Amino acid sequence: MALQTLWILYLREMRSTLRERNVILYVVVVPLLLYPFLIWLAMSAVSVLTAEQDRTPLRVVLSGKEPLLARALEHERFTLIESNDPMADLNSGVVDAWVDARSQAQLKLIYDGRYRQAQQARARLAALLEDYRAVRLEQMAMKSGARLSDLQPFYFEQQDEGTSNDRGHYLLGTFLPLCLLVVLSLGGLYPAVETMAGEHERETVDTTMGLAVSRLQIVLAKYLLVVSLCCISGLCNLIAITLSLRSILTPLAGNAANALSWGFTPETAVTLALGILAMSMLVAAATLVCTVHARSFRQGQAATTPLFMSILIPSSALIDRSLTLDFHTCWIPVVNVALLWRDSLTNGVPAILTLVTLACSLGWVTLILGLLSWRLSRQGRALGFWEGSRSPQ
Amino acid sequence: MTPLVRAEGLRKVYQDEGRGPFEAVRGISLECSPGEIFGLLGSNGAGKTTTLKMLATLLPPTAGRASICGFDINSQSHQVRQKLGFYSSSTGLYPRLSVTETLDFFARINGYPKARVAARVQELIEHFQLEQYRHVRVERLSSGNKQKVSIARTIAHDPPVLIFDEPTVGLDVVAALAFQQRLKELRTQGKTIILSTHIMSEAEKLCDRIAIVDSGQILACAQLEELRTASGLHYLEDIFIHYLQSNKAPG
Repeated sequence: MALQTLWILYLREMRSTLRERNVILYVVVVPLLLYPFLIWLAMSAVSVLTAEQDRTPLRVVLSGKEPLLARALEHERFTLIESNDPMADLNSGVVDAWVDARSQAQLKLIYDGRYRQAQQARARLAALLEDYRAVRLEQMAMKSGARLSDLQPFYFEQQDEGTSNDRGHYLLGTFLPLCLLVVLSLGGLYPAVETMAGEHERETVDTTMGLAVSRLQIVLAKYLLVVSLCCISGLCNLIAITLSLRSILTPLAGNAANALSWGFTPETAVTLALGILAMSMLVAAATLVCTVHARSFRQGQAATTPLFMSILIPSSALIDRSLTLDFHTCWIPVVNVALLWRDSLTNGVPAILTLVTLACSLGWVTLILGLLSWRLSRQGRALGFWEGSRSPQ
Repeated sequence: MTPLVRAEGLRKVYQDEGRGPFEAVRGISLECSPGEIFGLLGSNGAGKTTTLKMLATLLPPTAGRASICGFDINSQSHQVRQKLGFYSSSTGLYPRLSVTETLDFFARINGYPKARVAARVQELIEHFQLEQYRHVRVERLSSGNKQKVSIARTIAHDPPVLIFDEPTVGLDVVAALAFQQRLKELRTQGKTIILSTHIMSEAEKLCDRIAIVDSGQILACAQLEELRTASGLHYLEDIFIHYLQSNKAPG
């Protein structure tokens, strides 16, 4: 009977809340559309800036007779400039770099690091000159009949061990936890204000408190409502970002995007979903504590703004890649679940650590719900005057 | 007939941070039987709403005892609420629920038998002539129709005891008359009704017994004719002022 009553209350709360346009906006529309859109916007901006830099003609002075190098520079869209005093031209910014190839034994790249274009020229020329040096070495080896290894006994070799799946998950691990934190906070804050302060704003407090149910059932129904809506916004965001990243990146990054892959293993999917549930429970408990005394939407929003910030600030820990989920960090609320999401996407997390993290989160939820219960018992007017109210004697 | 509402020495003290303890209700006792409309007549701040909220288990009394249908308001509040319909200007409707959803919710949550809820909702919709609005959200209804839904939701679980706290405040004459008519119908059905008001004509027309309340106390409680005889005055307004002045007179 108690569960049935809870279900009736929950359904009433859900119906009322989902008929509010702003709730739909924050719980469904924002997670589905805003973050994929923001990522697309950021990637477009990066792409436009990179293309712009590539298009900018970089002016280079080439000293010395190196026709092969001259052709390579022209091929890479450098503008070759004749100069009588390259150093003076560099200092005045008339040219962006000077490649001094007058010596047979040495190539010298000279630039003035004050200028942004000079730095771009250095970056692009360094790679080009490295390749040119390799070609020259090979030519010298062939001419003298020597082996390449005789001329270059110490090799530098690069090898990318990361798979496309690794790269995709690294990218997802960078975006997703932060997006989920923002989305879960927004998805929880508005419904919490709506269900708590909204009762006062619409003068339905006495109606609700006069029902033949206990205060615990009323609070529990409200809590479950906020948890549900948080979970919905988190799952919407997870689906939207996972589905949209490839289609966003493909037109912008061309072949580079095709090298990415982000299929989840069932373990990762379960860990992500459990993390969303744990974080939703935490956010819901914290938002209800903050909004319990709010008498209007404005008061409710004012009360939850610091909470929103305190959820987002710990997310800066995600930037530090040396910080990982372990038996020390798993105790820190918010950070632990964010790290769980990130690490489960990138390196994987041992099951025991996942369980301990979730248990810690539940511990925090219990603590916050205890605080909520204490605050309600201290102030009878918070939700009305049902059993346990002791404020008015 | 056995009274369904009994109150004995109800007291309520509020702890006001600025003023200290404030006694809003000072030992109110009353009884109310089925088929009776019991009027609480008093000016603003007399203690009517506090008394009714204690009876409705929305406020715990500081002292005294009361029961609804034999259930104690302190220890059996759940049963009390199932036997009670409470209507006041502060018990607003959930604006985003439709008329049907509203009535269905209040019937179910207050313990009306599940199998009979749909029939009860249909019966109420027909009785209050709300057929064309059954799927309309409450927030989109006119004031008159909202008031019909409010009364319908108060009686949705068919409680034997009804409490109305200043129900006609803010209503126009036509709506107030319609409400009075519905109250009479409920009395005919054998409901026990407590009506709080400061509108004399309403109390005169509707109430079988009237309690004049001032400063948290009942100054007089009787049928209108008995009050007339006791005070020697005809109009309820004069009777009311007479008791108020007697209460304030030195000694």
